[in-house]
Amino acid sequence: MKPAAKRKGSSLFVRRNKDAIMACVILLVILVLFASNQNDFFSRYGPQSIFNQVITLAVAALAQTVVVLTGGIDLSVGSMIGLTNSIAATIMDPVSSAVGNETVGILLTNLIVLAIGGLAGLINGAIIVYGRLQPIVVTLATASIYGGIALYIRPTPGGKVPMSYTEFLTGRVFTYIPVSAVVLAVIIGLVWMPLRRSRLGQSIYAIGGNEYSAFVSGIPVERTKLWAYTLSGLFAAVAALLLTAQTASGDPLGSSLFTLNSIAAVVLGGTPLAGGKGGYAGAVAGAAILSLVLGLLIFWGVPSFYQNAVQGVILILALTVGLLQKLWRRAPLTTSS
Amino acid sequence: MKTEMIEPSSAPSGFGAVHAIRKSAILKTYLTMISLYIVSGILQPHFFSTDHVIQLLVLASFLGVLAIGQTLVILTGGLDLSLAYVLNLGAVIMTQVTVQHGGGVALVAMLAVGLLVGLLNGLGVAYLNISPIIMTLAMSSILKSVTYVYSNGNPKGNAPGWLRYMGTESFLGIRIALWFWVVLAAAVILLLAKTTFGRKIYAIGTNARVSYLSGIQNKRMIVMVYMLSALFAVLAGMMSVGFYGLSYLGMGDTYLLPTIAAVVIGGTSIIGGRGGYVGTIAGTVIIYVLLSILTVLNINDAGRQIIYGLVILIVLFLYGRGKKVRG
Repeated sequence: MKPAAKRKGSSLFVRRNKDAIMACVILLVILVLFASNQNDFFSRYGPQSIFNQVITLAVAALAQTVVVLTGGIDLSVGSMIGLTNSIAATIMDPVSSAVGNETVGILLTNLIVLAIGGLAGLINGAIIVYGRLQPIVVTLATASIYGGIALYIRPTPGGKVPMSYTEFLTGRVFTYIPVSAVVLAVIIGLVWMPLRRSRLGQSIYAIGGNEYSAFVSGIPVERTKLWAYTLSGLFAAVAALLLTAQTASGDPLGSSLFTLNSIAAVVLGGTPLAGGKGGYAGAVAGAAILSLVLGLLIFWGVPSFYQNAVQGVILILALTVGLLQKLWRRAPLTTSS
Repeated sequence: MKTEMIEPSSAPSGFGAVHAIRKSAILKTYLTMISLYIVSGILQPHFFSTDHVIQLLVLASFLGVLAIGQTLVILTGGLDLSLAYVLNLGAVIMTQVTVQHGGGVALVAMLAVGLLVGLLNGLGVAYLNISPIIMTLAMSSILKSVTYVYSNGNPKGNAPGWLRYMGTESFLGIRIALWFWVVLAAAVILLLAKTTFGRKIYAIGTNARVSYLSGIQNKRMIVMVYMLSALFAVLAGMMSVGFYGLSYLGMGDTYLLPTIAAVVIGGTSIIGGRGGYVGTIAGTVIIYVLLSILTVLNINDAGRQIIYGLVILIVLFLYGRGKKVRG
């Protein structure tokens, strides 16, 4: 496996991400349209605004991807983001003043929030694995529970977030590079790619491919699933921390859209809900399409209530084109749904 | 096994009551429903009155009718996330068309639009092989915009006279809305248990490949199931219009997840093939009894959501568990 991967690394990358090609083409079109409409696209503000629009949904889509790869689905992504977002906005200021140093306080808050996100994900995984229940209904139930806890912590949107935190995470480093791009690069380069090459990563894909085969091949199905859901919770917490920086407040219910949008982004990126195939490239591309198309409509002065329809149509068209591609490549599908 | 799920009465006797309860998800659902109702009655003795029961059932009837479609779709192994928005569009068409062309035209228009939306959902799922979650999710997005554009953000008009009558008056001491639910429920239960159409739905949900090889037109069936689902959704929208007298945006939003919860609490497997509408009725009533308990206990919104989630989990643990995988 390893040497083969080294010998033709590029083709492996292409093979692994061929389902994401459709999404990348659409994204390219959207970016070209963006460039022709936004005057400061090629200035230092262009990439910054684009990455800030995309980053939260992209990370939320990664949270969804980990679980979808195992063949599951996480309907609590939005609630976990809402919960961790509410907690972050609520405790950041008190923690900072308790520690006496704003930077240390922010870091500590981030760690606490990440731990809570991971725990929420782990609870999802534990109920699904040890309860032997379907992911879709379990996460539907925990979504309600996490949403309730978020509402308990922050009955109304608000909270206090230090200016420096917002300025840092939505700003730029080295004049040109948006911090959100750095964050995304770190998540993909330092978390996702090592994970993909690790035993855990291979197990996640194997389970999604065929759970029973994975089981009889000696892959620890239960532990892998626990990790997948925990990672999903962690990524959701990262998305929440970025959201906290962008909105400078905590909103217990406002994040519920992330659940369905993250699923849409994952599928738009070519990752099938059946699991076992796909990865970060599709998820990020899908999230970028869904976020940027809104910006494009605003440029063109399209009334905001057409946005939902445009997103829905893009989703259906992308999947239809993907199907036609498959039909063209090989014999017609004989299996019927 | 399967008939047992649908008709608990026909379960083989001689196994003993305890065994029957342990085996039948339906019995467990109804026992849960009755125990919860008794708890609500202990907390608030007024809840034992007939008035309260009827009021509770009338409120439950909207979700009950909406959940018919969800039950059918889930039985085939699908999921319909567009129901809430189909309901809303149906309701808006009902009131707005009534203003210009009268209630009869409104009814026809509403049913036609419902069938069209269901047809599109079904075509996407069956012929384009788009996964049901995604197809109906995309349809939700589109319908949200369509409803907004059609109503200009502010739905106008009122319920026609006959619909208002249906929503507020009684027949034989029972609200007509409730009769409507009873008739539809009976029809669906018969459809699932006694017709080939119903048996085919179970066959597809149990194993689509086997049902296809057995000569069932899977694709055609799936299209019809999504059409029925959307049809029941617009009917639920019509009932809401009858009850409130008008339509507004976001009318169905609170129903989306409860439809899935009602079906699952009712013992229908989310992966399809097992369960039925008899359970969904109990699931629907359980949700409303639970809401009434939470209201009596004066629990705030945060607590309600937490308890709501916990109850779904508990019910799942009671009868939703899978078998342990062995090598």
